[in-house]
Amino acid sequence: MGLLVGASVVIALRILGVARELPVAPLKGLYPIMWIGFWIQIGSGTLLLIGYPTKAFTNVDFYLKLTMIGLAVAFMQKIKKKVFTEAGLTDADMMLRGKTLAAWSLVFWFGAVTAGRFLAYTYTFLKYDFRG
Amino acid sequence: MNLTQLHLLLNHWPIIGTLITLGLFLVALVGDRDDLKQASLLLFSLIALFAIPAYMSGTGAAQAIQESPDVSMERIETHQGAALLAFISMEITGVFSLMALWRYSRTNKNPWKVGPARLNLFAVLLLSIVTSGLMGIAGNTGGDIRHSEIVAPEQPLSLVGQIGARLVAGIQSFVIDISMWIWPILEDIHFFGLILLLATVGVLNLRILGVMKRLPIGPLHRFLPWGIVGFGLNVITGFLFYLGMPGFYNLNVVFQLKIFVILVAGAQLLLFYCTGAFRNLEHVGPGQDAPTLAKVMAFAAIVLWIAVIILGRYIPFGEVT
Repeated sequence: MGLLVGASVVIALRILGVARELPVAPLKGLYPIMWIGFWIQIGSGTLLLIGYPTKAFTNVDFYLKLTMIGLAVAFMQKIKKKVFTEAGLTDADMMLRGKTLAAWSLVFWFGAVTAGRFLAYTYTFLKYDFRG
Repeated sequence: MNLTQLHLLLNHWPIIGTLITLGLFLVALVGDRDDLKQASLLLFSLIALFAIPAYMSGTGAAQAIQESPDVSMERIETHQGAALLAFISMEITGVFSLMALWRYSRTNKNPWKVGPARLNLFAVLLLSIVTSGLMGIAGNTGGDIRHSEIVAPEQPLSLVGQIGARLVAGIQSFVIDISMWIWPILEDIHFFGLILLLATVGVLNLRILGVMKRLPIGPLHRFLPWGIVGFGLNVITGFLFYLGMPGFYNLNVVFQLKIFVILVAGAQLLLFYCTGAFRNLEHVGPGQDAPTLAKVMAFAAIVLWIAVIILGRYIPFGEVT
């Protein structure tokens, strides 16, 4: 989570104007770090899902969390396409192009982490005993 | 070593340290010595950091002696109240000191001549005087617990301590009793603090290690306040968890280890990234390598903060029953 959201937050904050003297383009290097974090989460998340299937699948919050993650990742990819792919853009151009996307990605990450944290408090069936 | 011994080892530092640093700070202000000012500000920040285990070990010490027949529970609670007020005041002093240090690292011009900076410095002075007073009361009420020879017969309980004792109880009921949602909300904030801290500390240290070499290091430093805000959020929410159920944390080895690593990582953050030690790195431009020692530091910082996160996640498994 720290890797994935942390790297995204750095990109988003820079596009939104933090540390203006910092060139934007090299931050593209944070994308691999995001993906490392992403796949660690997919792996460990899947294991948790196998361990406690009813806990997640019977909770609306779980689907909310997945939606939020999906949107956040999609917006990060959009930023990559719009801001980082084209060569020769100035920092000001990049910031202008990415501004809205960056703000939304922060909103979705906020939602994803919050929904995820609240999963631990909103479930109905932690485990289900099939043998009754 | 048990928590009582640890408390006795740690608790004198914030009291005497604040007084000595206040003296140093006054000398620096009167003599207008910038290096001494920075040293005092750094010391205030470090004391704020080390006041955390000083307070926490106290709750453990109270647990250990509250059954003794010759100890008054009222006096313990009064001391705890005074200690909490002193602690809070110390943390606020630390925050203002950090802000002043930050102002210093941002500009090479003398920052103390500018209006808001002077105000900041004045705030540190005022706060550290208040903190010294509160620390004194905390120390006194603490001594009263065991040293019957210094307690006059019919000596009333400290008023400040009693106010603080109410605050201790009030915070506990806020965190635990008012609503079952307070705890998860605090956890959520704790997560965001963690993300901010790891994001900024991570990207800065990865660059020092040579990842994303096209980035100049100097401007990356501008992210650091965000990391420090994250750390501040985590200290506040973390301390609220602790005040909510101190008994759960005190004897938990994983928690103790986490606090220890936070102290090491926090002290490193203060000493190497918030002082002139960092200024040598500011000139490392795009494509250039950082010095080896800086790389060692960067690697250590990443390992330490990740250790803090992992230990934090494992706290529930260290529960002592």
